[in-house]
Amino acid sequence: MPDTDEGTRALNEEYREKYGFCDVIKYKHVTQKGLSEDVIREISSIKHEPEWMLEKRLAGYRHFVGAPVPKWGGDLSKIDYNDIYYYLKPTNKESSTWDAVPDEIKRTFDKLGIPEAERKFFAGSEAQYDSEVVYSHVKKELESQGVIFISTDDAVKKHPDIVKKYFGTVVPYTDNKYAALNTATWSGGSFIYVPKNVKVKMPLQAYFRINAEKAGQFERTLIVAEEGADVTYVEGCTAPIYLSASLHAAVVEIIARKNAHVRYVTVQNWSKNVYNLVTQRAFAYENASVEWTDCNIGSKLNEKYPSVYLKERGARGSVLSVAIAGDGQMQDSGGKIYHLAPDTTSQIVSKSVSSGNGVTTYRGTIHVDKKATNVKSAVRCNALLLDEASKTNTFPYMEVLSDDATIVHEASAGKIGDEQLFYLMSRGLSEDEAVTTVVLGFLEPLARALPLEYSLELKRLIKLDIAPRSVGQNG
Amino acid sequence: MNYKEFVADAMMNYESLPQETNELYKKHSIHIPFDLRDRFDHSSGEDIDAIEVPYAMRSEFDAVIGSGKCILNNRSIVTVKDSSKLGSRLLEDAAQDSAEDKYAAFINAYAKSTLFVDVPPGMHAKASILFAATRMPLNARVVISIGKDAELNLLELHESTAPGTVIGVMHETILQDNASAEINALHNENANTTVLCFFKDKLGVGANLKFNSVYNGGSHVRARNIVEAGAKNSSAEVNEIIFGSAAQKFDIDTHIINAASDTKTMLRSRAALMGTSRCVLKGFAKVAHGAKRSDSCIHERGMLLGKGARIDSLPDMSVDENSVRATHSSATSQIDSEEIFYLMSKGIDGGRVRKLIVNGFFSGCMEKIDNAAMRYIAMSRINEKLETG
Repeated sequence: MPDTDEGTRALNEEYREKYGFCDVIKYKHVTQKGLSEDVIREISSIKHEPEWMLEKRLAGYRHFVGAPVPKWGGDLSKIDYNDIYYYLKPTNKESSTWDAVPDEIKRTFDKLGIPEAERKFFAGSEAQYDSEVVYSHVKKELESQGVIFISTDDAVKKHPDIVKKYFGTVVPYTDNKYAALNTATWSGGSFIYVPKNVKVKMPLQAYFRINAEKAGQFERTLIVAEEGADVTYVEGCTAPIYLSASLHAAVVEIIARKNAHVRYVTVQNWSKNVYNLVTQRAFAYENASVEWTDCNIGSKLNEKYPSVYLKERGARGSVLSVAIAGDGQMQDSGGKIYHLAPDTTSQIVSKSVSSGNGVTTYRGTIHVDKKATNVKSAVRCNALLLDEASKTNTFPYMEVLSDDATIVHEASAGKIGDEQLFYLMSRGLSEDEAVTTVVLGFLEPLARALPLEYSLELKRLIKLDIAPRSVGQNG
Repeated sequence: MNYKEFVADAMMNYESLPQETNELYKKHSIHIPFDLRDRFDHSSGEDIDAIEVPYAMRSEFDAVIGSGKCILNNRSIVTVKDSSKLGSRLLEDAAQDSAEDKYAAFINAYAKSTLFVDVPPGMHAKASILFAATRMPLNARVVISIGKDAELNLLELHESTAPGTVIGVMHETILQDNASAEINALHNENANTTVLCFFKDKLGVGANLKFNSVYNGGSHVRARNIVEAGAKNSSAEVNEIIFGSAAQKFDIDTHIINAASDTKTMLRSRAALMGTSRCVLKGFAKVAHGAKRSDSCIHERGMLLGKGARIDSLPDMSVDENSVRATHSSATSQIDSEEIFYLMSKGIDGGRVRKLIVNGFFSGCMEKIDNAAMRYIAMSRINEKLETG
């Protein structure tokens, strides 16, 4: 573990090499900058979409134009919607074998270690490069059980009935400005369908990469787990380091039918020039369980609050959220649980670390409806401030309309104890090593909840993020 | 700004401002569904004697304030001035900014009297004030000034008898270095009264403030309290008890701020609601940059006693300094059926069990109140309400 300026520089260099690089790609199709009905019709036409999808896109666009920019949270006024490319097509077709992926794109994902990870840890994998999914593969035995794991674009063509039935039902375009923008401009994302009683034992993985400067990525993910089904989905995201800002406004919709279990894991590691404005929501039916594990490490401004609507008796929802805000970053994250039925339970655990002048904000809602009797919910937020310039906020909202709900919320903020540091340093660790050890220990319960590969990656990313703190530089 | 301009500005702000100006809380506010100006009954005359004062006789209050009539029994520390006679600086200092809150503007526009509680340096004093709205709405500003090393224990009782009236009281509390104060406000207005409360403070080095409020009466109760430990080694503690029944609505917003090093702030809130009453409990803890070694804590607890009752709990926190201890917690639940079963199995009837549980629920907050009269009157009023529903 490095404990010198040189060591820190080495870590930052590694970050640049590993995630912050930029490959030169000749795009097959790029729409003009900015957003208009013509651009949306162009995207829909390139994708050969049915008319009903174009109508949805146009409705989303019209709502986006009129919807106000949220006044809470970070400053979104600097996003210039006319200076963004809304669609960049890197290749003409999606490949199901790695060899068929164009070389220049393959190089990017090879550097990120995607195919290697798939071989070792995942039941299926998908890779999205700017606007389009370039690779999608699911293991044969799952395919034979009826599991579908393809890009959402492909799903519109191959399974229009399922997509039409669920698209926009969990997150309607009227939900917020960025859900409307996504509905208008969506491209790529994952479509997962797990039939009744099928358990997908290994996680499915997707990797999202923004490569072009001034590019927006608006993937749309839809997961349907039928009765008794079980699936874990893991997504990772990176982007090169540019001077201008990029925009990522995804929408994720999950439907977990009776007794189903869905786990959705995100390791968000966008470069620090990306606005990450994502709407993630799940509907959980009778005795179903939905877990969000949300690790936010990258981006300039992150606003993401995974939510679960517990719609039928016995449903369970959980959000585990990690936010790391370094210099110049604002991590506005949290979780929302809506208890709409009796005997539903939920838990939100949020851990955040701020360093430099980074700001972490927990923003969450626990809503208990009138008819939701015997509800139990617990929210715990812990914030760690690593230096004098860092800041943390906590805004939990608890709306209880039922008279027999038990709702508990706890939060704390503080710095690393001098005694902890002293103890570790007396064992021969440098100050940086001691700080990193304490931070990793602080986040350990969440790191443990991740698949092994991602857990190791998360720890590595945290070290990258925390290490420059004490030498006051970012590489 | 002279008084005329001050009132005109306040009137304009009352007319133009929305009910909630804080962006954070726009979704979580209790709406007052009428124009408070309509609550003025222009028929003249007041009858302070119509108020039934419990425990202490009216003559035992240092001041009894109606909307047009004041009785002062202790002129040494409590005085009243006509607001129009205040100099512009004092006028603006005593008030909260009309441009920031619609209902602060309302009090600024209509508070004809400003009450001063002055405790000279080194003096230890006790005082009590009765605010009584009988027919006309009662709006007043209270300026509490406590000299260096002095101590004050103040009890305020807020009562009303008139239907559809308003009591609006705005506090400015200044504690010089090492001064100490306990300010107690018991709101026991009738069920048709709109209650507006504002509180802000200025603490000197080593000063120690305790602000205790019991919100028992009123139809719509709106409190905006800003309690700041702004000087080194100062400390501020707020204890809030809210007891609602029928369709009462409470919107209680208390900010505790650590703005200097080695400061300590604490907010304890307990809300128990019966019937279809509703409470929005907003506790905001802010630790400012530079407030090193400070300690900030919010405890919010809610208990639902009625099928239609609702509590929205918002314990927010903003920490801009790392060498601090900042914690907050919030919990809402119904009466535990096992507790009821246990107590009833000991031969205690249902009504008494309810009383024991509610009293126990409030006790964590009530026992922090030093003023015995405040504790006694508050508990008797709460128990009366429990019995009558």
